[in-house]
Amino acid sequence: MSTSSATGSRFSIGKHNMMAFILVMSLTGLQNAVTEILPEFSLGPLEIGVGEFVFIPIVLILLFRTYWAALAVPVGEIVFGEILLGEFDGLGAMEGLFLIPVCYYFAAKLLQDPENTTQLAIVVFVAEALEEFLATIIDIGKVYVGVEELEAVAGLPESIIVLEGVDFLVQMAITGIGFGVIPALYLYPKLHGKIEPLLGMEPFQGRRGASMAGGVSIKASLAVLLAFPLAFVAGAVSEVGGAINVVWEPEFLAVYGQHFIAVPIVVSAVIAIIVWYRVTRSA
Amino acid sequence: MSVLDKLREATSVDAIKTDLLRTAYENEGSFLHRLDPRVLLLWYGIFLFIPWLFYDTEVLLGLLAFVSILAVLSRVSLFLVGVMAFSVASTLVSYAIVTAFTGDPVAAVRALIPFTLKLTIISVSSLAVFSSMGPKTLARGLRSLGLPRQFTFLITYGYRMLPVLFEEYHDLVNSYRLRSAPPDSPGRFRWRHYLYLLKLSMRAFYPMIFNVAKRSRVTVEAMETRGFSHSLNDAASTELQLADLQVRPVDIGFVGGSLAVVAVIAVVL
Repeated sequence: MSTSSATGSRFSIGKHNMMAFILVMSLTGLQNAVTEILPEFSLGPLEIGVGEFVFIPIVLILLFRTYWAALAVPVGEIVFGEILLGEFDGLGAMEGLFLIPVCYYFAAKLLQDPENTTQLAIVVFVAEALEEFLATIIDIGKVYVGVEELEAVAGLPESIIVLEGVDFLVQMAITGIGFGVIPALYLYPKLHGKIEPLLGMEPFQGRRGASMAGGVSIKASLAVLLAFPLAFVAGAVSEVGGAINVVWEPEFLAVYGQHFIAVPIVVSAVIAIIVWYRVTRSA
Repeated sequence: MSVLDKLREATSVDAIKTDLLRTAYENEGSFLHRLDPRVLLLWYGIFLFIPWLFYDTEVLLGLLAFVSILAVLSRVSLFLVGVMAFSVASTLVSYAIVTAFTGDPVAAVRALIPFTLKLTIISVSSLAVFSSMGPKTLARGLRSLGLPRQFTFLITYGYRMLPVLFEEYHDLVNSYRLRSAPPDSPGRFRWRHYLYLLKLSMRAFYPMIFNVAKRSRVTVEAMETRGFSHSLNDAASTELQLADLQVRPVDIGFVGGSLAVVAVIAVVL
């Protein structure tokens, strides 16, 4: 029973995948809720303090090495940290849902020799850096899409890039190394080979002295390339109202007048009626 | 008692924990709680877009007032509101400080205010909707909109498990504290003391991981015993679970009423 393979199952996502999913989700969520309570000094986009105990999700993904485990990280954050605490921001959460799993999964595949400490440190760092870097670019892009006449205000674009860049460096130093690489170096060897049998799975053996280059998975890299624009769109739609903001500019209002507002209202009313009709019919 | 200690009293972990758990669990009586979850999701979808239609600061302030009233009615946690208010204010201030070096801070803040207001309106309305809905209702609403049951199960699972995990983790931290010696001198601003607590709270996750691993295995096996995977493809079980969801006049009235309020705000201001 305890050594059954991970494939034989009646669950659509696999029994062991479900177990690993629940495990990673619960721990990520708990970690999220705990660090939410810890004091944090945040100054606008700059956050100084305990961001997150990222070593917990990353180490667990390195142990289970499945896409499902990686997907459980943002789901855990959404379910425990956002929905339960009422902070859910709808589409904004989709950004993490696209970005985090692909970055972590890509990094987890790089780990080829579980006993090589240097490799472990690099992998944890890459996971965090990749995710944080893409998120920073998305953040900068969002402000560009959102604030009309951004370029017209002297100094504003530069200051946004400066702030986000400094934030990235601070995050990498505190969260990436302090709460990522260093604790992960302790935790991974302690859990490796112990936690997998508890779920009835084989621990990852790897190959002694294998180089990280062998772990560059084409599929995982493609997934990162694919997820990045999707995450950007989700983030942009959530924070800047998507296409509305591009069309609905003050110049447009000056031409057509504020009365033109009736058009989107009628359109949304029609959409609402259609959705309502479909929902009531299917229920 | 030093100032730091007083501050810690007011924002003690226990007080915040209770506040957050109350947000998650005690929303039975609130106004929005009585509405159909699908209608609330639709309402939220509408309010994701409405703020982007306006540029006047007065109209945006009016909308903010409206969603704030709804948030008060659904009894959102003061802690969360405080966190949000602080982050909004500090974002503006930090942009102003940095632009003071690179350009005109007043113009920058003026350009950012409508944008920030819109984001605030959206976050307040999501706070109102999602803290009043409750994970169980939300799970059923999403299920009836076609989300896979595995995912909606996880929402309700989290809802049940969060307090248990919280308690367990707190106990672990306390037992670690009992078994270890705090630093001899707390140091300036008690930094050694806080570092010690931080290290401890990280180490307490180690036994926690094993506990959760055992629990998740038991959960999955118990679900399988009770036919979870069998019921996934069973239409009758879905129908039974969603039977008491229905859109009533009060739901339509709520959506229509809030649209009317938005129209009034837009016309009057």
